[in-house]
Amino acid sequence: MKKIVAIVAALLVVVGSISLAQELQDLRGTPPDAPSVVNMSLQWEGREGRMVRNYRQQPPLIPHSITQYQIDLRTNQCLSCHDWTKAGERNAPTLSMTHYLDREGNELDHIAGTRYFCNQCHVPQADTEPLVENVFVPSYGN
Amino acid sequence: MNICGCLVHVSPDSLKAARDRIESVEGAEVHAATEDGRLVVVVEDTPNRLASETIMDLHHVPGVISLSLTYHHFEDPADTHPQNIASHQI
Amino acid sequence: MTISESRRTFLKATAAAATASTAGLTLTTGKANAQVGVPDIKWDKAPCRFCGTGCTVLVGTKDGRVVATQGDPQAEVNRGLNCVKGYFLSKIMYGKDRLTQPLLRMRDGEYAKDGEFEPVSWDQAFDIMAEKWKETLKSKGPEGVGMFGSGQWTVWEGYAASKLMKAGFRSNNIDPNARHCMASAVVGFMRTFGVDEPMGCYDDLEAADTFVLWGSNMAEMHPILWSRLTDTRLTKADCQVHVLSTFEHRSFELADNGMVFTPQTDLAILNYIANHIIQTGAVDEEFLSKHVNITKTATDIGYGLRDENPLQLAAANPNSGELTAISFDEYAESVKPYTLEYTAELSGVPAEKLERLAQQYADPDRKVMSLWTMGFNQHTRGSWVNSLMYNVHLLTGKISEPGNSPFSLTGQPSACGTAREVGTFAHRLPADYVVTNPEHRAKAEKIWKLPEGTIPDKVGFHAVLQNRMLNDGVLNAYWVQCNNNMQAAPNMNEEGWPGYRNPDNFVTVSDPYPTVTAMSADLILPTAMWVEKEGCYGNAERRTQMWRQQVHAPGDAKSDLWQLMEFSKRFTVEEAWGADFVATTPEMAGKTLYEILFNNGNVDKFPLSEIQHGHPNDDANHFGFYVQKGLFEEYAEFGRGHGHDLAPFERYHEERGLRWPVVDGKETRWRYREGHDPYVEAGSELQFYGFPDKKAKIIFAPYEAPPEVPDEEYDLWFCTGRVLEHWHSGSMTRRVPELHRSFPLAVLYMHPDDVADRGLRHGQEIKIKTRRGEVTSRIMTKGRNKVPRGLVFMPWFDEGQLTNKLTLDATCPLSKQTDFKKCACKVERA
Repeated sequence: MKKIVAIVAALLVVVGSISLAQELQDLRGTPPDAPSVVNMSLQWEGREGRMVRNYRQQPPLIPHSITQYQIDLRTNQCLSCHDWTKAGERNAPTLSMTHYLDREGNELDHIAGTRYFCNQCHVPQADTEPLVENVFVPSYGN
Repeated sequence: MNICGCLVHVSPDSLKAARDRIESVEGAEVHAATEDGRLVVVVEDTPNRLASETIMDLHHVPGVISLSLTYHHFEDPADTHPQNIASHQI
Repeated sequence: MTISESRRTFLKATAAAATASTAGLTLTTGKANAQVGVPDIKWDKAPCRFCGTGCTVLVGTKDGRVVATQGDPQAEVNRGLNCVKGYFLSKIMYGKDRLTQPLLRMRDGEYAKDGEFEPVSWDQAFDIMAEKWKETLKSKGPEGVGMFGSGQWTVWEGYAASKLMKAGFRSNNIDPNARHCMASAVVGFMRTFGVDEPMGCYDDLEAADTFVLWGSNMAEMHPILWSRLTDTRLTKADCQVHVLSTFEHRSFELADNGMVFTPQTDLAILNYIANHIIQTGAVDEEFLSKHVNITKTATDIGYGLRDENPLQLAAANPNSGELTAISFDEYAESVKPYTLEYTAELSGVPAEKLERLAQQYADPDRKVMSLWTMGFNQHTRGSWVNSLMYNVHLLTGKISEPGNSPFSLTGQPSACGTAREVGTFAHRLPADYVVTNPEHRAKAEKIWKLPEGTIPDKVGFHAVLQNRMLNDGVLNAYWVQCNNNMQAAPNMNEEGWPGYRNPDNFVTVSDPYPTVTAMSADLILPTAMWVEKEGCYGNAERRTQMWRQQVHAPGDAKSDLWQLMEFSKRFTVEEAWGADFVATTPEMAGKTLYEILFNNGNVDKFPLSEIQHGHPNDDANHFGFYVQKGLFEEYAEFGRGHGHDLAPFERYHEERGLRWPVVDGKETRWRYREGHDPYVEAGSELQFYGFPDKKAKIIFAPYEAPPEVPDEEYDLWFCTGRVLEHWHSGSMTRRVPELHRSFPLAVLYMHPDDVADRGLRHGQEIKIKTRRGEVTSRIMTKGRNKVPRGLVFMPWFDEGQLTNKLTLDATCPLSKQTDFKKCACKVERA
């Protein structure tokens, strides 16, 4: 362990631009008894096109704001673009075929009730940096 | 055993020369490069030099503007259970 | 010595990928990928790491790392579906700040309470920890040591911890964070039925005609169960959904009858429904006479605050749970004041909505499933309100059959399996046994092969009391595992923080990440998580599920189980028990706690050869025997033949879980009902066998006001809770970039008129103040939650905004569970 400390110290001294993410702190970055930290953006990213998935089974992220979208007993605004009946004309990605299968595996013409509330799985992304890097490595071999 | 991931910024003009030079350094490998001069370089300990020393050498490669260490992993083989290593081969 | 070539290649690939991702680069045909090659991903099942729903996921591993997760199509709970958190499980172990070595507060090379965290070896860590525990045991006895555990512990971790504390240190000062979450539900079950946990199961979600949500936002907190409920609502003719809450949330999107009520008046609404059932002649009299006793509970019982608190001193019957038998007529008289008019006035819910709700319970042709979570449980009358819910189902006989189901949902993956069934509470032992019952203690001592009198008979410190006792310097050696209680416990400023930082105390926190709680500790132990160890969880429908270890923990991180068992090696019985007690049991003299607790012929009974080939098991290999199986089988002995039967260990590795009691290899879906539950005698139709007379109890309790209500200065109700995208304190989900970006910070949901009245605006940074502290946040007047005037709602997942600096540590006096839903605050410009 001494070796690592020595290396880190050497790098810090010699190379000013080196950033070390391994410094011990929680996600606050200030002690628990210090005032709150409220510095993140609430702007949703308005990216063009789809976001790359980490693995095939991951639900796609939403590349637009859904702030005013209505999904309730009366209507589901997501379906007005993404249902298979609309996706072509609206130039939007169609729901995966898994969404037209009920719990028993029967094929349906309309979205399965179990999949009705889109935002249980699909979420938009705020324009903000991760709190801490995630070193997950995807495998594109699947 | 140290393994470091470094992001190296190189002047786009000298990209090829700098890349070749880095590739020739023992213990350093270029894993990716962009046209605007960013290189993903992985540096590991060699029998002769520690990764930290190699990284310092890289600073002196002509064309290198900056280098930042973004990932560091240390593994002491003596501290690790033999079966830990074995299963990583699965 | 060198590490193997493939491991080195793998590490280099990781380094390259991590570096590329910081720079926003994609490694397409990188050297790393080419060298590693593309072997197939190996898939294996595991229960989800998050809520109590207990979905099964398939975990994809490659080269010793998790590379993908997906819903398990074979799992009955979720049939291939996950919520967004579940789909991103693959990333929860890979936050870059994973702890990989023990860290001790030090100055000048020595432990110092006010020192800085420095890396130490496991030996050094356990040396100082054992030294502090021994000092405390010597000076204060077993009452000076304590442990705070979790409904996220695996079954065997909770079991080993409970055994270590109750038999090893002879201290009942062990409690799980499930105290904050399920304690009122437990007391409700025990008082009404004499047995913990729901009689029904998730199959009721397809079988019911009417669903009623009582203080539960299932759409966000139990998304997969909500998807099943939604499916039933959208596909079954005349299905109805009724939702009650103190503010409008996402579950209202599916509601046929949404009701926002004034905090605490759920007590009155339930009594109104009972009154309606009686007044309209809807009581199932035969059911009532055969299966139910009627009682009332002691009233004016205080609010679980410190004994010297004026509200406690003013209470007539502080903490009393005394029950008195009453006649049906007396009961009818007791609920009579809860008329439609009175209840509508008190609750603020329009009369026609209340009546429509009551009719669903009264109508004999409607099958009703009632669901609740923290709205009921985190309640200063939580134990009462749970029983009031059962009253309604018992009056109409709508219970223990498909679709008729009062169902308490849980928030943690093993709140049921570990905290409750293993009994890691300050008063419990496995399988509903309790420490205050001499026969129960004797049973435990026999199974554990320990001398009579080993387990103390005194109830230990519960969660909230532990923080108070740390603060008071009574509890000095303390170990927190598998939870983030500095962020989660109420009244952090006045109790939690000063308690942990009290110079008399030595606090150890085991966690995979540097949480707020870890940073508040004196010693941090790096911990293996989820599929880095073999595990077992139990979900809300009594389903026990297991998984195998699939990858290795990083660096020197070790499982909670490893830590507990290794620590036990540091103590001889003389040091733990004191010479006096050892003198009465000379056969134990000179042995270590490890020897008497884990090398006892039970836990070490199964050899390593029984581990399934091809799966790692670091814990078992370390100890030299199949430790998980040994602990499980010893634990299962408590429940077999006692209504809590578990199947043999191996069966769980084959199944997607089984619902206990599992008798003759068959699981039980509806308890107490003949034909479903093997414990019900033939010909009896239904037996609530938790009590000797096999009858359940109606327990009348009145409406009583909460301890802190808005006044002129603190003029708003303050309610806290969770969001879909983050799980509890966010220590895992906030390290997943996609989940973080989907809900990046906590906000304060507030009514637009309340905002305007204060000269504030949407999005503005503001200060929320209570009598206990202040927190800065941002106002949200739009979005998923629509709060009524006079109430604000704030999620507590955000470490940046420690919501629990504001909350009051008032609890249900019976369950000792905190009411995180109601206190008074004000909102000001920051």
